[in-house]
Order: sequence, then structure tokens, then C-alpha cells
Amino acid sequence: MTPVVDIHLRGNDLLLVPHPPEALGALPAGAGLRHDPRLGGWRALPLLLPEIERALGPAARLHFDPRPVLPFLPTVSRAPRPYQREALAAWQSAGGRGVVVLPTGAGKTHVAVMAINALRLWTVVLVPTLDLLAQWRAALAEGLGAPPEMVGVVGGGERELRPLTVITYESASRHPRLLTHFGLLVADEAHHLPAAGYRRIAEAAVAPYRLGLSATPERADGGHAALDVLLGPEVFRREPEELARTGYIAPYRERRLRVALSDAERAAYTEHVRTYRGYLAARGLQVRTAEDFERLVLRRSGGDPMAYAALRAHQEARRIAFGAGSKLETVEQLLERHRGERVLIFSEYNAAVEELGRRLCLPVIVHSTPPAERRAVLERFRAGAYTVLATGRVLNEGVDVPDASVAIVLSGSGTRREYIQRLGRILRPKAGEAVLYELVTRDTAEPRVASRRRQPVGVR
Amino acid sequence: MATLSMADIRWRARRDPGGGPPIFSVMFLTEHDRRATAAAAGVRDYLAGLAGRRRAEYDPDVVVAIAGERRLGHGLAAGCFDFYAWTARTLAEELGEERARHLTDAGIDTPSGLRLRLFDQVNQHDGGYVPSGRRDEALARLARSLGLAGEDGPALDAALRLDAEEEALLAPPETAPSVVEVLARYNRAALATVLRQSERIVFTLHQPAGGTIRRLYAWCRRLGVYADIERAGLETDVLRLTLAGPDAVSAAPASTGPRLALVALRLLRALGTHDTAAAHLHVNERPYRLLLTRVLLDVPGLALTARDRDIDSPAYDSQVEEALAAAFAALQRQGRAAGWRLVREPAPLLAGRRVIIPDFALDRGGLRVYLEIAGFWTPGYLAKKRAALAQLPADTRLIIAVPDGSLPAFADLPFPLVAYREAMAPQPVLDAAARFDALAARTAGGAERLRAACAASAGWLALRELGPLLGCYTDGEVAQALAAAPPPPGWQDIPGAGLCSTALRNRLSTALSVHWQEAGEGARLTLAGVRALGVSPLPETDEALLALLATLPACRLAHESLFEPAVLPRESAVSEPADRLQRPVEVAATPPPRSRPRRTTARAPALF
Repeated sequence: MTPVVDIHLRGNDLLLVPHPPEALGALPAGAGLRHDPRLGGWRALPLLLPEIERALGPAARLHFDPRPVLPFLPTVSRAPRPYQREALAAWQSAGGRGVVVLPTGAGKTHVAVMAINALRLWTVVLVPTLDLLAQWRAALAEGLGAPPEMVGVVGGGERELRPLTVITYESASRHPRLLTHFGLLVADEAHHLPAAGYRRIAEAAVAPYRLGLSATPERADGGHAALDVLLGPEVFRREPEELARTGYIAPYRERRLRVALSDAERAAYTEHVRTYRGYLAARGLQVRTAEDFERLVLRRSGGDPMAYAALRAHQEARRIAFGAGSKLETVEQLLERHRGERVLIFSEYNAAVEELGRRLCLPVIVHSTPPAERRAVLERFRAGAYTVLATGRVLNEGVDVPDASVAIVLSGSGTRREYIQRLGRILRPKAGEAVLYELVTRDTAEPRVASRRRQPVGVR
Repeated sequence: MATLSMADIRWRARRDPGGGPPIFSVMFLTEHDRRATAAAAGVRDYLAGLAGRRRAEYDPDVVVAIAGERRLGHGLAAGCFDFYAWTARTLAEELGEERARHLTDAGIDTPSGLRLRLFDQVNQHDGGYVPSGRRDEALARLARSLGLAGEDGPALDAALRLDAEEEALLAPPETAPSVVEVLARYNRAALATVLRQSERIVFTLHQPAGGTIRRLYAWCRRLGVYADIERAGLETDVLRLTLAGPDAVSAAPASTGPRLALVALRLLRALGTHDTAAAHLHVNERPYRLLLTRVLLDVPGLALTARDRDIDSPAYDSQVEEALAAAFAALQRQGRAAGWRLVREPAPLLAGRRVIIPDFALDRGGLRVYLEIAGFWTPGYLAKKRAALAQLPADTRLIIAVPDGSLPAFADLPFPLVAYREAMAPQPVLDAAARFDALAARTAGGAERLRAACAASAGWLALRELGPLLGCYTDGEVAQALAAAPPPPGWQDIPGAGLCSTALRNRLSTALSVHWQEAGEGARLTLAGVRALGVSPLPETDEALLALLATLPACRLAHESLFEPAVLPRESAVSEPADRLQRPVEVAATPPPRSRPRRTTARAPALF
């Protein structure tokens, strides 16, 4: 008897039923099979389907279609840029699995459109926010010439499972079985996928073909290594500087402007630093990493009043450095220099950006901005009716922020991703040069933070 | 409910002597803890002193200083904020009615609208921003554009940020909370926060009553907590009820902790002496076990409150079930339930180690048919439910009611399906249930029982007596049964009324004839008059009596009134020879085609 392994979909798993039982012997030891005596077979993560198929060869007998073909013929009218073509070729060479890294504004969506056109399979696109849900829906319909009824979204109260479906990470993690219908999985902002709550999305998806898109796949927790398994290895990367040189994104300058604390700010800053260091010295502690800080300061602050005082001193010192009054004056000067240009201002602290907005009568978007106001401001900024917009971290990613030619980073964290994302907001091709100003308070901890965010992961 | 983060919870862990994950315990606050009660009073009094003040004036460091540590301070403040609330002022409150009316006339009724108007003006006139030295001018221009005076600019400045968090005012409760109330709110929030970290909560129940399990299960589902029940082993009565953690709860993340806490506390109340419960947690990426015991119920805030108890005894776990039960009760009141009785909380069914608690059972004459309602579930839950149902033996008397769109998912199961859209009608369910209760089997032997009953009867067997005799539950079934097994000789079927002996018919005919001979042919009889003739037994109901009279050749019924027909001699009948009247009426071997008696003023009674 020719050995055969029947492969079914059962719940969130694959069920492998070998005939005879030895037929499974072809599978590698690390295939992660779990015996299910109730169903008389072996369970495996759908993620592993390609490996299982490869190992079993003709013995694999599928009882579902993991590669459903699109019921319409896509037509891509827009010619790809050379690097987009290269990205697609690299991804195809890797067997249709992998992560493409391109800066914001470089046309990652079009790479996905080309991949869908090449495979012509049912495709699901994972996105982190509701804004991107609508954005991707429009991009797929337009980019592939797809009839409206072929494109659906799941999330934000919608539940349309269509041959081309855009779904939020949140919805997908709640309903992973929805992902059994698709041959291609596209993960936008793929750096989210390794998060504990989202890994199961990639594990439960049957899709043999997977494409991750990100400008900044690296995660501070090192979780990006998991992308190799969940989506495939990084197959293509272009840095902003490279694309700027070839003119596919706007040429840009980064300028770091140093400002000083006022005397009163300096005194308060010094006092807070002394309190913080005093705690470390009194307790004989050394904080070298973020993990040290969390363990030795943050967690201890719950029950140790001195640790709490140190924590508050650390927060206050940081707030003073990041929100130095002279930064606001510098912003005003920069706005005057770029009067009439489209300017985005980013801040780490909402209070600073709100103060700036109040002082200069600027539109501001922070987490507490009412949705209708947020929509109106973004629309008017996009239409050119507003030329300056200030925001906190809420617009860092996942929101279709209109392009600008000037970015002012009032303050920011030490993460490279945030920096790249903010830079990306001014990189769409345009006449003239884009410029990013970074305001840094000298003789504080801020210059070190600013340097850290410019370093590639692994250097710091 | 107050919300806390894990960093605000006081907890500790100890080694599990059994070698499992460390045992996690929350340090709940009680009125015997002097430090906690003093801190609670201090925090409450601090907030009371801030009543009517801006949020910007609230200093969390003060709270920490009062409590002596951050966790306790933040936790107690969260407990207090269940009573004190930040509220935003309106434009009218800030600007006064007159100025606010100007804004309304300009189409502005929120600070957000006012801001957008300012931004529009600044972008039209100032190139996107206003240099800080010219800010007052911009505000004065805004005021003038709204029909106010330029001097109103500063007032508008305040109105522009009226909805900012720090501008909200602290509204106190009507009565300040007691210290114990504050501790209670903290404790409940702490338990909810900890349970929000749980992967699962497992209750091990020794020999629980089926009804108890059913109620607990319904309760979990009502609160949107996914629950699974299985036997601990194939040869044991120990059941394991597992509540899935927040990942599987179909609700906003913020509400999952309170829901899990509520369900867990409710389940704790039902624990027997030997029962155990534990939540499996992950805190700071390390696994822990939180043992849940009835001792928790003595902690302030963890005994269920009156508000909790409102949902403590859920009538039904979904509107679909509630509507079905109501519709079924109406059917029963109308006597159209065909003998079925709707039972909630039937005994659980076993499917391997899985335990399935159907939503309802339908009982009739010793037969039980289960009804499982597949609600509008998440695909994951639907799949689990389907897999569990597939484990049941194929001969289980089970009906599955399924939302229209989910029919295909259940189509291959060996149980009848009843589709529904939003509400479920009971009749299709009853029709499906009747398929498990074949008429032929029920009526077997009915002819013998009928013969014996006729022999023992004085001449009249009402329809309601015939049903049980023949094993029938509806008029239609009685008709079918009588068609298959006709009444014994000397008895006639009076359709829709009962069986009448020839002797009784003759006695009634004779009595009527005698009455008319004596009273004259024009004399009308009411039904009461007929009953007064002294013939016995007559049908108990007027409808049945009318049906019987309608079959007598001696009389006719005249419907001259809306209320009751008159009984008159049939003209031809009174001239019939007396011997004809006295001769027994032959009953045909094959009954005549059945037709329901003409409806009079009232509807013919149903069987039950």
C-alpha cells in the first residue's frame, strides 16, 4: 500500500492522519506534531503546512485548498519602480516567504499588490489600525483593478470575508480561523507580528505564501528574530538614504539643533538627577539597561518610597530636558523660516505639544483629541488648508498622515523605529528637499537618547 | 469599576510544595489593617478637599505620600474614583449664557468646534501659526468673528481648552464613601486586574448537581466568558470547569477583568467542601497559580453586591433563549404545545470526556429531546461547540437550532437542525422533536385500550380522555389514530368532541322527542334545557354537546343568536315513525369523513 497522509483542517490546527502510521516517518523531528487520540491523528500548526508538504511529497493528501485562486483576473496598471521589482524578485526567489524592508513613503503597498498579482491567490492583509484598514482596501481595489465586491475588511465592526480581505491584527488574533481561507498572507507593519498576542495569527494561518512589510522590523525585545519563522527571513532592504539618492523618495537633511535649559530649569533638573542618583547610591544599584531600570526602579517603586521618589525624579528630569522652554522658542523660529511649507511637529510628551499648540494657535492631535476634530484636522492638513500640525506619539504609525516637507522632532524616545517612522512622514517624492529637525537639550540625558535612536539595532 | 495596573497591586508569591508554579497571593485590604484604613481615609479626604477643583490640581504624589507607598496610594485613589468623578464644564458654564449663545449661533457648540474655527482663521490670515507675541490679537479676532467683543478673547482662550483632561472638575458623590467602601472597591479592582492576567481559571467540582453546573455555565456565557466543562477522567464524577482567560473573552479588554472576577466569585459561592479552583497567571512573564477559595468571599468587596446579584440568577443566557421560552409558554397557554414541556437546566450530556449542557430539553410522556441553541457565536466558539457535539452518540435525541448563516457548519452532524434568524419560533422545534416520538409506536395497543374504556364507560368519552388512551397529543393525532383503529361497535365518533355510544344517542333523541311532544313543536331548547332533560352522561362542554346534537336526526340547531344556538325539532324528524326513533342507529364500520364541528361562539377546546 502506498503511504498516504490525509491532511485536514480541524479547528485552528492541521490534522494529519497517516495510512499506515509509519507514513509520518518522513517528517522531521521538529515538525511540532501533537498526537490527538480522539481524532486518531496528529495535530500541527497550519504555519508548518509548506514544510509538511515538502517533507511528505506525494504522500500528502490535502482535504482543503490552501491555495485558492482569485475569482477575477487582477490588472496592475502602475509600473513598478526598480527597487520594488527587485523586492518582488527577492521574495519570489525565497519561495514566496519573507520580509521586505522599505522606508515609509517608498511604496510598500505596491510591492504587496505586485505579489498578489504574481500569485493570483486569495489574500489576507494584516494591518495594525482602522485607518490602515480603509487605506489598504482602497489600495487593493485600485492597484489590482479589483471589483469592489472582491475586497472586504474585517475589523472596526465590519466583517466581510472576500478574496482580498484586509483585517486588523486585533480581529485576526481573536478569530484566527478566518485565516484558513487564504493562500497569501501580507503583514503590514510586520514588526507587530512577533508580539505575544499576535504570534498565533501567523501560526494559525494556512497561507503557504507570506509577505511581511515594514520600515523598521527590529524590535527592542529582540522579537524580530521570530519573523523568520512566522513570515520568512528578511529578503530585501533599502534604507532611506539609498532611495533618496536615486530620487524615489524625497532627498532629505537631518539637522540636530542644540538648545539650553534656563537657569531655573537647570536647577530643577540637577536636583532631580541628584535624587535619582542618590537612590541608586544608597541602595548600591547600577542601572545600565531598560530592563535594569524596570527591575530596580520601577517595580521597587511600588513599595519603596525612596524608589518611588527616584522614579518621579527620573520622570521629572526627563520631562524638563525633553520639554525645555527654549525648544518652544526654537520651534517658533523654525516655523518662521519655513512659513508656508507643510510642517509636522512631533513630541514625546503630550503636555509639551499641547502647550505649543496653545501658544502658537496650532492644530494638535494627541490621544485625547476628539475623533471628529482629529479627522477634520487631518483632512484640512492633507488639503493644504492647514500647513502646520503638532502631534504626540499617536500619529507615529498606522495613520494615513499627509505628507509634509518639514518635520520637527521636539522630543522622542530612543527607539529607532519611532525615528524612522517620523522621518518617513516627509519622504514622499516632492520638489525640493525635505528636512528633519531634531531639537536636543544640551548637557542633559537627551543627546544620548537622540544618538541611540539613530543607531542601527545591535550597535547600542 | 476602578481600574488598576499590576504595578498598583500588592502581591507576593511563595513556592509551591508540589513543584508547580509559585503560588500567587494578593494582599487584599481589610478594615482590620490600620495602615490601610488610615490611608483610605486620608486619600478620600484629600479628594473631598478637591471637590469642584480642576484636575490639574490633583497631585498623585500627595496620594502616594498619604499612603506611604505608591501601590497603596494609587490603588486607594482608584477605589475612591469609583465615587468621585471628573466632569467637563460646558461652554455656557464657562462663558455665560449670552456669550455661549453667540457661539451657538455661529454653529459652535463644543470646545473642539471653537478650536477648528480658530485654526481656520489662523491658516487663512497668519500662515499656519500665530507668533506668540500676537496671540491675543488672534483671540480678539476670533471673538469678533463670533459676534463678541474683542475683549472676550481671554474668555475664549479658556473655552478653547475646556475639554482638556486637566480642566475637568472633580464632582463629589452625594455621600462620601466610607473607608470600608473604598477598601472594597480596591479589592474588587485588584482581583479583576490579577484575573486579567490569567490564561485560564480551572474549577474542579466533585459530584456537582446537574442544575448547578447548568446555571454556572449559563452564567459564564451570559457574561461572555468562554467556559468548557469536562470530566476529569472517564471513570469519575469529578468535573473540571475551565474559564478561558481574557484572550478568549468576546468583550473589550477593559471589561474582561471585572467579568472574570464576577464569574469567579459567583462560582466560588457554589464550591463544595472538596472542590478547588485556581487561576493560572502570567505576571512579569513568569507563571503563577492563584488559589481561589471561599475565604475570598469574606474579603471586603468580594462578597457579591446587590448589583452583582441582579445578574446573579440569569433567567436565560441569551435573548434567543428567553424569546423561545416566552413563545413556548404562550403556546402552552393556548393548549398548542402538543404535550411538550420545556425544561431548562437538563442533566448534562457526556461526549467522551466533554460535558455538554444543552440549553433546553423537551419532555413528553417519558421522552426527553434535548435542544442546543447555537447562538451568534464567534467562529472559534462555534467550531469548539461543533466539535463537542460531533462527539455525541448519533442516536442522542438532540435538536440543534442554528442561525441561518451557520447552518453549513453543522450540516454533517446526525441531528436535526432548526434554522432561525433573530428569534426562534417554537413550532419548528416541536415539529423536529415530534420526529423522535413516532405516532405508530405510541398508538400501538390503542384499540384495545379504547375498547376497554368504552366498555367501562356510561356512554360518553370526551376527546381529552381519548388522547391518553390512544397515546396521542393533538386532535390531528387522535383523528389519525381513530382512522387506523375505529371505535368498537355501538360507538360513534363525534369529530372534535369525543366518542358517543349508540345507547346514549338514542336516550338523548328519545328525551328530546318526548320533550317536544309535550311542549309543542315550536318550543326551543337551550343547551341548559337539553342538560335538564336528565340524560346522562352528556359532554361536559357546550361545544362538545353541540357537536353531539348536530349528529342527531331528531333535532336541528338554529343559530339565531350570537351567543347560543337554539335546539329545535327537525320537521321531518318529528314525523318519523316512533319505531325508527327507538331503533338503534347503525354506525358504519368505516367512519364517515371527519370534519370539525361548526364553530359556534367559542373555539372547540384543544386536548390539553
